[in-house]
Amino acid sequence: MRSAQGGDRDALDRLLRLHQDRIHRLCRRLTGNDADALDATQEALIAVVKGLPRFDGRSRFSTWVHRVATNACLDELRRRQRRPSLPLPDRERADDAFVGAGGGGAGGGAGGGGPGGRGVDDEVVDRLEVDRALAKLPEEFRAAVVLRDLCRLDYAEIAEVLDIPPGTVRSRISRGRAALAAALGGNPDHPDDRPTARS
Amino acid sequence: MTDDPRPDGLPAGSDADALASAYLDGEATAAERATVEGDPALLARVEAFRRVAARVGTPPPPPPATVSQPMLAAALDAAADPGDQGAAVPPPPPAVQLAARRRRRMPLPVPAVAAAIVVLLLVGLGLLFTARGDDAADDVASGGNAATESRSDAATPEPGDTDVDNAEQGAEGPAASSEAAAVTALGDFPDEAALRALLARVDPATLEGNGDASSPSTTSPPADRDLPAPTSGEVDRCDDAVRAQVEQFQGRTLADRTAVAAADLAGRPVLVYSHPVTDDPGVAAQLTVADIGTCQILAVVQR
Repeated sequence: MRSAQGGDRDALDRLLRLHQDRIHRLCRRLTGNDADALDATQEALIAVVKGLPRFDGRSRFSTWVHRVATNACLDELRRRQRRPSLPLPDRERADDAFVGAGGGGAGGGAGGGGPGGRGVDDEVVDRLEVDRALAKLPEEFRAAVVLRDLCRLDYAEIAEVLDIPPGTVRSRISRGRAALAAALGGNPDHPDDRPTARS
Repeated sequence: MTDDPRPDGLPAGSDADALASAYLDGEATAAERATVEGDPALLARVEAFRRVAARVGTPPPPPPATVSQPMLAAALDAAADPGDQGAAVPPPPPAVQLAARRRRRMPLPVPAVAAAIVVLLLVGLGLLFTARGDDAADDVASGGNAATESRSDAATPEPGDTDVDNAEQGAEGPAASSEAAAVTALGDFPDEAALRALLARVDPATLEGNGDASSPSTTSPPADRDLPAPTSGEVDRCDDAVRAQVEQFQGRTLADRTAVAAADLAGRPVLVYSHPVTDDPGVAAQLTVADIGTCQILAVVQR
């Protein structure tokens, strides 16, 4: 990281490669679709590069990267809200393509069930369901839940990333999960979804 | 534990949920853990949250290398740019090569979009069921002359021959060249196949190099029906409108067109323009499909 900060292009390349996938995962979950996720990922990578000389090491580098990426994603979401968009059917198709390219599916495409377990179709459907449920959450709740459940940050790190008190993190995560449980509990076909909870 | 203002559509949190959630995350105090473990309802809630967390935590697949590599390259290029070091989240560079994966959103006026959606749904169906244009040469020979004659003298091709050659080449060449094109804005085409089918039939790129680039040629389409050839006024008017839309929505100034072709899409005349792209090293030209009547852009393809 020090080499990258010092302008070593190879070191910077390695550093970005190390974090690119996790940035993309975060952005994919926060934005809810591949197109915006890639835009946000691109901006986050550039922001990391631009901001790297100013990173002072007071926080963990990964926490700082998450903060930069989260801001890029939220900015992308706000831009999306401001602009009209064509109703392009790119989300599902892009998802299919990504499943084929990166999801380990042989041959790619949403081609039905794989050998044993759930098929590619199920995975895509599940991902879209989660996307839809997350999209219903206010951004600040969505970010807290995703940073916890996807990025595995603890509450203190999430508080630092979002610049909010840890108590607020706890509240946002619990309320976000409660809303997600309600939204996702409506799919009786999903093996993980069973409205067992009541409190 | 509800120190947040209650957002629209999200119920206020309960202490039980806060306990269950914190317990799941290992963020509960010892007393809270004891409370949860002694309450079956709370434990059930923990399990419900665990399932939610598992689904949210399932990582989406990474983008393919064809997408991620250019992103890395663009970011590294940004490092070489000494300017704008102070920006927290700088805007993306214009040359990010995401085009092969996605279609850039290009906002269009809502009424035009609505009209185009209806028309292009019909177009898509039409492309599926119409003939492949084997008899296109006749139409081209007649319509092509009409179109070219209406343009300036400098643009006048040899009568018939050039256009027929283009049409014949179109049976092979355009399809191949459109394969390499990156669809950056599908516009309102029902799917990419429909757009590519159009470009395979009428591809102005096949005209490039056949004539003087400084004197753009105009040809008529391998039309399925006899449509009146566009006048030079219509061609120029739509060219101006197309360039204005591109500048407005893509932030790109197109150079003078190198070619334009007219096409019959299920009875709807459209123009396909080819403009060289000079501000993006990764793109040589941009094909723009526009409605002749309204000059609204229907699709954009970069190559």
